[in-house]
Amino acid sequence: MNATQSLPPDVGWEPIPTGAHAAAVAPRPGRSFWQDVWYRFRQKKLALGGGACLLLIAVLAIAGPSLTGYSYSAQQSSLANVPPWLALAKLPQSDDLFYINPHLKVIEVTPDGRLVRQVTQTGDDMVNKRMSFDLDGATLYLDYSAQPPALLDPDGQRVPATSHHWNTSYLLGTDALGRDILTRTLYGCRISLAVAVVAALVNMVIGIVYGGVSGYAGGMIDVSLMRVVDIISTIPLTLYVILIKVVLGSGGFLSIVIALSSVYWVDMARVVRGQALSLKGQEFVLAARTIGAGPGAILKRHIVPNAMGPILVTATMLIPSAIFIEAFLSFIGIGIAPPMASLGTMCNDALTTLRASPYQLLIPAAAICVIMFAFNFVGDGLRDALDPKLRQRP
Amino acid sequence: MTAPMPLLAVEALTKHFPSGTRDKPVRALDGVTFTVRRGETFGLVGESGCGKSTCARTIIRLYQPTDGRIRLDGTDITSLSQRQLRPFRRRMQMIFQDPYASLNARMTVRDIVAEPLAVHESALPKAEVTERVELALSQVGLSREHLLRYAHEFSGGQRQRIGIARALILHPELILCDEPISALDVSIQAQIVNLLRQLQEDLDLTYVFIAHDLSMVRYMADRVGVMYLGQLVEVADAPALYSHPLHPYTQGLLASVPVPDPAADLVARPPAIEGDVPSPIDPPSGCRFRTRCPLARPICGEASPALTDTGDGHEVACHLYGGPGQSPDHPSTTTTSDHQNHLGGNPT
Amino acid sequence: MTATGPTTPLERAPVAEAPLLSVNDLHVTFRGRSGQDSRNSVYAVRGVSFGLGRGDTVGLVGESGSGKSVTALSLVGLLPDTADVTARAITLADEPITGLSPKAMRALRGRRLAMVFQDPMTSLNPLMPIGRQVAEMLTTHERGLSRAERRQRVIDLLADVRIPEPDKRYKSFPHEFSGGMRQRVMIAMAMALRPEVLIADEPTTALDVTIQDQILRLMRRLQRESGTSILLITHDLGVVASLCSRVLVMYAGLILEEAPVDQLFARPLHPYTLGLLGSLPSARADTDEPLQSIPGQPPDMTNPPPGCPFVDRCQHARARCQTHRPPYYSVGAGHRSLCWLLDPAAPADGNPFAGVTATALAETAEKVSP
Repeated sequence: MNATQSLPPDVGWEPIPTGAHAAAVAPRPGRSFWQDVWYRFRQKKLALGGGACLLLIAVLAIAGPSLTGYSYSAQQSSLANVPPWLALAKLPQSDDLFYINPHLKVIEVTPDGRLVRQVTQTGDDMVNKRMSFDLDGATLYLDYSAQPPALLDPDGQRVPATSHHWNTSYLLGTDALGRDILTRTLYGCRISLAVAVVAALVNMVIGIVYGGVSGYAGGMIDVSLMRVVDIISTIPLTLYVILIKVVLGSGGFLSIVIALSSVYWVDMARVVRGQALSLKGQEFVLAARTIGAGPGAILKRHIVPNAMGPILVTATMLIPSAIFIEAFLSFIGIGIAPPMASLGTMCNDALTTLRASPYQLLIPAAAICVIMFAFNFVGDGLRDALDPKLRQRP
Repeated sequence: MTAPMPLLAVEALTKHFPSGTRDKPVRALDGVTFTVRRGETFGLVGESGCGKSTCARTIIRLYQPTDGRIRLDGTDITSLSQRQLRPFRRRMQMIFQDPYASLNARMTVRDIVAEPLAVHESALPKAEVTERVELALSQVGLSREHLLRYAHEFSGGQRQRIGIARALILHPELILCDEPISALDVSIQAQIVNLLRQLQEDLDLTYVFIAHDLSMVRYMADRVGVMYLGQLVEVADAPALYSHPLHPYTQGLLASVPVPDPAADLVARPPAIEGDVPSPIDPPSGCRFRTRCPLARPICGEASPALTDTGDGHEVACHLYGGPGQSPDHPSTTTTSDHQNHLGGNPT
Repeated sequence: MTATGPTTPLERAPVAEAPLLSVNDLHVTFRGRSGQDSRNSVYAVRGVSFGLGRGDTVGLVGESGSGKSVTALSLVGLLPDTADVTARAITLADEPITGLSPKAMRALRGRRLAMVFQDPMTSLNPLMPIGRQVAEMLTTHERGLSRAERRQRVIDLLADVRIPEPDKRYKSFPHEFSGGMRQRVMIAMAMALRPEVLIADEPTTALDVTIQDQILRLMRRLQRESGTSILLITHDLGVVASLCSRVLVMYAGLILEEAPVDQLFARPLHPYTLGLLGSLPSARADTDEPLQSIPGQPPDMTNPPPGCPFVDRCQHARARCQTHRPPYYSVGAGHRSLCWLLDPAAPADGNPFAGVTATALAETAEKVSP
C-alpha cells in the first residue's frame, strides 16, 4: 500500500512539538537482570524438568522415610532379598501365593501382594534335591532339581510361578538383611541432598569470601591466598576423609561434611577471584572507589552481584560432583557408616547379591543418576540463561 | 597582589606502573604540573596512551602517585590515607568514559545515584535520599519515572546522564570528566556537552575535561593542556592554543583533525605527524616528541625541555622557544595560520 | 556522440553510465529471539537504494544503530543467519550479487569486493605472522604463484601501504604492530587483489587523530592509483569531508539525504543533517552559545515509527510526518532528501527549506516497511 499517495497534498501541515512522542522514546519497560534470567530459564524444558525432579526428590527425601512405615535400619531377616516385582506360585491347598527367593526361602504372599511370613523349613533332601516346609501343619515341597526351583503340588507336580504381583509390603523390595529398600533409598537421597546443600553453602560462603578478598585485594595477599588454594587442591580428597576419620575416631556423615567443607570451596574461590580481578578494573568499581566506598562495600555491592552468574554456574556444576564423591566414598567404605543408608553404601551392599538380586543395585544407582542428571540439567539451563551469548554460538 | 588560590594544583605528578616483562616501569605520567582555577574548565588532550586518563585517576587517588604533589584547595592530599581522604572525595568527583561499563548493571538507577550518599551520609532517612536522587536526576534531565529502572534499559546518552547525576549528588566543587563523550553519537555528544556547561553555570563547578576530540575541548575548555607520552608539552588559554599552537606536536595534532569542510583538501594540507607514538616503557631521551618532530635538533635528544612561559600564561616545553643560547625563532608560521583555517573557519 | 543513436556496443557504453555497485531497495531484518516472534525483530535496514560509481568515494554516515554497518555487511554477505536480507536488486557491474552461493560469494569477496573493519586487532589472526596472512589472501584467490613470487608480492603490498622495513616485518605478529600499522596491513590485504569496490567500515574510528590522518591519506592515495571505488562507513563528518565525493546520511534504517559532499555541507536539506552539522563544535568554537544538540534518542528499531523516523526529534515536524513516510525529493543532480518540508505544497511558514524547488521521486519509498 502506498502511504504517500493516500494523503491529500494540503493535509497534515500543522506543526507538532518536538518529542510529541516522547513516551515512545523512553526505554521500554524492561526486566531486571534476574527477571531476564528467569525468563530465559523458563524456556528450557529440560532444566525446568530437572528442577521439578529435584523438588520432588527433596520432598520425598524429607517426608518419605516417615511415611513408609519402616526404619532404615530395622532388619527383617526372614523377609530378606524379596524383589519389588514378585513371581508367585499358586498352590491348591492355600489361598495365599508363594514366592521363592534366590536363597530358596519360601515366602507366603497374600493375593494382593502383601508378604505374610517365611514358611518354616523342616528338611532338605539333598539327594532328590527337594526341600520340605511346614505350612500350618501340612508339608510343602520345593523341588530344586531343575531351574528354576518350583514348589510341588500335592500330586508332586511342579507348580510354575506364573502369577505376578507387585510387592505391596516393600514397594522396592528388601535387601540382603531384610531392610526396606524404598526407605533406605529415600534416606540415601536425603544424605545426597544434604551433601549438596553443604557443598553449596561451603562454596557460597567460604569460596566467595575467600576468592573475592583474594581477587580484589590483589598483590601479595592474592599470591599467598592462592598458594593456600593450590596446596589444598593438590591433596586428594580421599586422603582428607581418611585422615578426618582417623582424627574423629568415627566416620559417618560428619566426616564427609568436614572433608567437603575443608576443600570443596577451592574451585569456587578460583572462579570468584578471576571475576573479582576482571571486575575491579571496570569503571563502575572505579566509580565506587572515587566515591570513597570501602572494600567490603564494593565487594558486597558491586563485585559479588556481578559475578553471580559464574558463581551459580560453578555451584550447580560442583554440586553433582559433591554428590558423586559422597556416593563414591561410601561405596568404597570410607563414607557413611552402616547402618546409615547412603546411595553409595547401598550399592556396595548390593554387590554381594548382585547376580540373584540386581534390583538392589539398580535402584540406588538409578537414584544417583536421576539426582545428578537433574542437577546437571538445572546447571546447564542456568548457564544458558545467565549467559545468552554463550548459547548463540554455533 | 597574589593570585587566588587554585582549586586544584598538580605539581610534578608522576605515576609509573610495573611493566611486567622488563625491569623498566611504564612511565605513564612523568612530572606533570598544572593548576586549575575555581570555576574554569581545564581541558586535557592527547592521543591514547599519553597519560591523560592516568592523570585524572591519579588526581582522584585511584592510583597512588609515584611522585609529586596534588593539592585540593591548598590541602596536600597526595599521601592521605583512604580514610583521611573521605572528606575530600565529596568535593571531587569523576565522570567516566564508558556509559555502559561505568554503571553497575545489577542496580537500579536510584541505587546507583544514591551510592555516594550511602557512603558519605549513611544516616540519611530513606525519603530524603529519594528526594536528593530525584533532584540530581532532574538536574541532568531525567525524571522520577526512571528511578526504579535498571541501567541497561537506557541508551548511552541517558546512561551518561545517570553517571553525571551520581557525580553531582554530593555537591562537589571539582569534577574530573574522563572522556565523557567519546563513546557517544555526535547528536548525543552535543546534548551532554550542553548539559555539562549548563551545570557548570548553575552549580559553580570546576571541570578537568579530558578528551581526544580537539574541537570539543576547544568548545568546552577555558585552558587546555596538551599531553604527549606522559608529559605536558603545552598549556595555554584555549583560543591562544588553537590559533597559535607553539609546540610542533600541538601543531601536528591540530593539522590531523579531519575538518567537516570539503573545501579543505586533504592533500593540500601540511603533512601530518608521521610514525607512531614510542613505547612509554622506553621513551626517547630528551624531548619525547623528537622522534616524530619535523623540527628536531641535536639538543632535543640531549636535554628534556621544561615547560616555560612564553608570555600571557602560554607555556610550552620545547627547545625552539627560549632555550638556553637559542633565539626564540618562530617555526612554521605558515602551518600555524593554516590551522586557524581548519579549526577556526566556519564550514557552512 | 552524435544523435544517431547507439550503433555499436562500444559507443553505447558510456552514455547512461550505470553505477558499478547498485543497491535497490535493500531491507535487512534481524529475526527475534524465538523465530516467528515478530515483536522482537529488529528492522535494521528498511529500503535503502544507492549507487556507487567507478572510482567514486561515497560516505555512508550515521549514528550507531542507524543500519550503516548492516548495509555494508549485507553487501558482502557477512551477516549472521538471523538476518533476513531482501532487495529488489543488488548488482556489481550489472551482474546481480544477491542469492549467490556461499562459494560464489567467497570468490567475490576479496577479488571484487573487499572489506576493511573498524578493529584491526580482531580482524587479524593473532597467531599468524602478518606476511603469511597477506599471502593467504593471494593464495586463496590467485593460484600459481611461486613461493618467492608470493613473498615479493606481499612485501610490495606492505611497502605500498608504507609499512617501514616490510621485508623484516613480514615475519612479525599482529601484537607487535601498533593500531595504525595493523590497519595498514588490513588495507594491504583488502587491496591485494585490486578489488573493484572497497567497503571500509569505520576504518579509522579506533585510531588516534594523527594516525587517522595517515590512514586517510593512504586510502586516498591508493584509490587514486588503483581506481577502486570506496564505500566509506563512518560517523565522523570530518572524515567524510576529507575523503568522499558523495554522502549518504542514514538514520533508523533509511537514507534521509544523499548529496554531493560540498552541497551537503553548504546546503543540507534534511533537518537531521542540519542537526548533525549543528552538533559539531568546531564551527562555532569562539561562541558561548550552546551547541544545537538534537533532543531525544533514535527510535526503537524493533518498532520503527510509521512515518518519518526523525519526527520525534525534529524541530520542524508536521502532523503528517508522524503518520506518513515522505517520498524522496530531488533537489538538483545527485541530491535527494526524505523530508515532507521539500514538498511543493508545504507551507513556507516555519519551513527551513522554503523556496527550494524539489520534485518528488516516485520510484522510491513505495514500499512501506512494518
